[in-house]
Amino acid sequence: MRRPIRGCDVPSTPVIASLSIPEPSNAIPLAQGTRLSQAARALWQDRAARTALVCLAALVLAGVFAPLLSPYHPDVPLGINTLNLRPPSAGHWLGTDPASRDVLSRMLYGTRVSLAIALLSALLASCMGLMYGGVAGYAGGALDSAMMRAIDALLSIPRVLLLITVLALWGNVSVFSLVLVLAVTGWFGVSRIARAEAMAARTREYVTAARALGAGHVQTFVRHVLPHLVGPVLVAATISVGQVVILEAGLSYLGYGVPQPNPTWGSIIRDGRETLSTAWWLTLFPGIALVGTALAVNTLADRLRAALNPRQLPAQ
Amino acid sequence: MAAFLLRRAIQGLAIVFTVVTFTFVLIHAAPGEPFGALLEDPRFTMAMREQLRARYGLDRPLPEQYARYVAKIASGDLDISLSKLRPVRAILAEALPRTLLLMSVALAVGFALGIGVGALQAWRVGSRTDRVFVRLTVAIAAVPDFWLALALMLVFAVKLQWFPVTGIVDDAMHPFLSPFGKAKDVLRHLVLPAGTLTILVAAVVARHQRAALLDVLPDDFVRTARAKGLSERAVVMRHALRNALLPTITLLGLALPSLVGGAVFVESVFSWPGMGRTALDALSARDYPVVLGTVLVGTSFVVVGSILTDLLYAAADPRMRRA
Repeated sequence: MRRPIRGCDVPSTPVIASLSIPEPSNAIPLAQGTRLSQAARALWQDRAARTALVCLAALVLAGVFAPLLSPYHPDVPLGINTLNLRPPSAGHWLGTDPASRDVLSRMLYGTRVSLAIALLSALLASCMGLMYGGVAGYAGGALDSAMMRAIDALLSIPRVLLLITVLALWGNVSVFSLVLVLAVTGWFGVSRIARAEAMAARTREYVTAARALGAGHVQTFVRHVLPHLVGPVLVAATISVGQVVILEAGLSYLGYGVPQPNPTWGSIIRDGRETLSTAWWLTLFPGIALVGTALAVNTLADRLRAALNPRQLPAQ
Repeated sequence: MAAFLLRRAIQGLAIVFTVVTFTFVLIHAAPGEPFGALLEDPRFTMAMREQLRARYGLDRPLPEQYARYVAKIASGDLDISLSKLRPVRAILAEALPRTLLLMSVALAVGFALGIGVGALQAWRVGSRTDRVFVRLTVAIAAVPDFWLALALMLVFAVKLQWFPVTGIVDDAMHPFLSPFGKAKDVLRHLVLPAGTLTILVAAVVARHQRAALLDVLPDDFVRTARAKGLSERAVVMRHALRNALLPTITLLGLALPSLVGGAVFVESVFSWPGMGRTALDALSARDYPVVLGTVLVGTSFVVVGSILTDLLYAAADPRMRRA
């Protein structure tokens, strides 16, 4: 508590004034930190959120330990004429596919690919949206309205059409490029949320105070505005993880996603599309994984929003 | 109002122009070329390839090709398909009505159903019905469109055989049917693809409608309506719902881009020969004019849809008319 007093006593020579900045800037992230940890506690006390978290943790573990858990190699045919399209049995819990590969093993490895792509691209997209929207909202005025007009335009492009165009033209893209394309087409919505929050934060007293005490725009933005955007952007990021899981599955189903023979949930469904009427297990099990994941992620996002913003709780 | 419309129209035109330009750059930067299938024929010589490229102007420098294309669009010509050797306009004139049929049915039925279910839920909030629908709509929101399409196809077309599996008409029988029979044939083929999109739209709309109504119900004007002695049904349906419809109208504009995407998946699963399938086929054939044409029409559709949404919003909310 000594510093702000000293800062106030000394007339505002820039050097001393900038010394006085750390106190509020330390205080805000701390408050943010407690808010986030409070939200985490509230989340854990909510039964639906806890179930969702446990399910997602199990999925992540299944993906990480796929090599240990898989009974067979995911890409190697077990017997082209003898073991293809076998229904679920004791030897192959989720059956085999047209190329006589074990579906359970492919799904476990698929978990790895599907989740990694979704998490990485959501993270990347959120960072881009956070910075873009944050800057627009903090800057305000003509820059803000120009930046947001651009977002309006980008949001009116059908994302799936754009993705399919890029992926179909370049053919087999690497997982890394897929993540990049998904991220580049996925940050527009996040930037709107970040911008709204930044606009609200801009007019708060502590921002005025920081500016009055001589903090530059960059410092004010990074230390005092950005931390307030983290919560809402976290909710948006969580929602977009679920969206990307589904989107990537759809792209892989069309044959534009992760290149063969790498399994993803979507490409397993693709493998079964010719034999849909007889080999239902190729469509059902990856589908359950997809719906379950999206459901868990959506539930988590919904409860996270409520936990971060207790006043909105009745409306949700 | 006129100024607003003009501004939105100019903005929309700029968006469409930018997207088409971007696609033009993208498609020429990508590997592969048109006539790829011909190149595999051993009799097809390099001289013949050059001749073909010259005929369609593909041997020109890119800026010139771009300028020519823009000039063509401006005069309403969408160029000629490189794989089908037909005018792109004729190809799109066939595909567009099919997609519009699919989407308009999905939008109309989906919104009607969603608003109805959402209103019912809000009217009886906390009841068993409400709780069941909350679970159901949350669950449906997590279902991928292509997977729902496959599931409906498996159950209603393959197992129960109530509806045809794929296509838009029965290819063998269609030419011999009466006009009424033809319409019935298309309708039978429409049920599953449109049903898939309808279910997805309705679930999203119902969730928003319920939330919007619950938002409005504590307001003063609702209390006034109750105090006048109106029945609870009249209060919810006539007074609250009218106000709570505004956010749903906004949703309509926001739903369009994702519906265009959803239609691509659903069209692909059901082999519905609409815009989505046309785009996919053109992409794999590197049919530049058709790709650009579908992008042009798709983006215009979204842009016009969002302007229409704003107009609808102004019509529904007197406060917006002055702004």
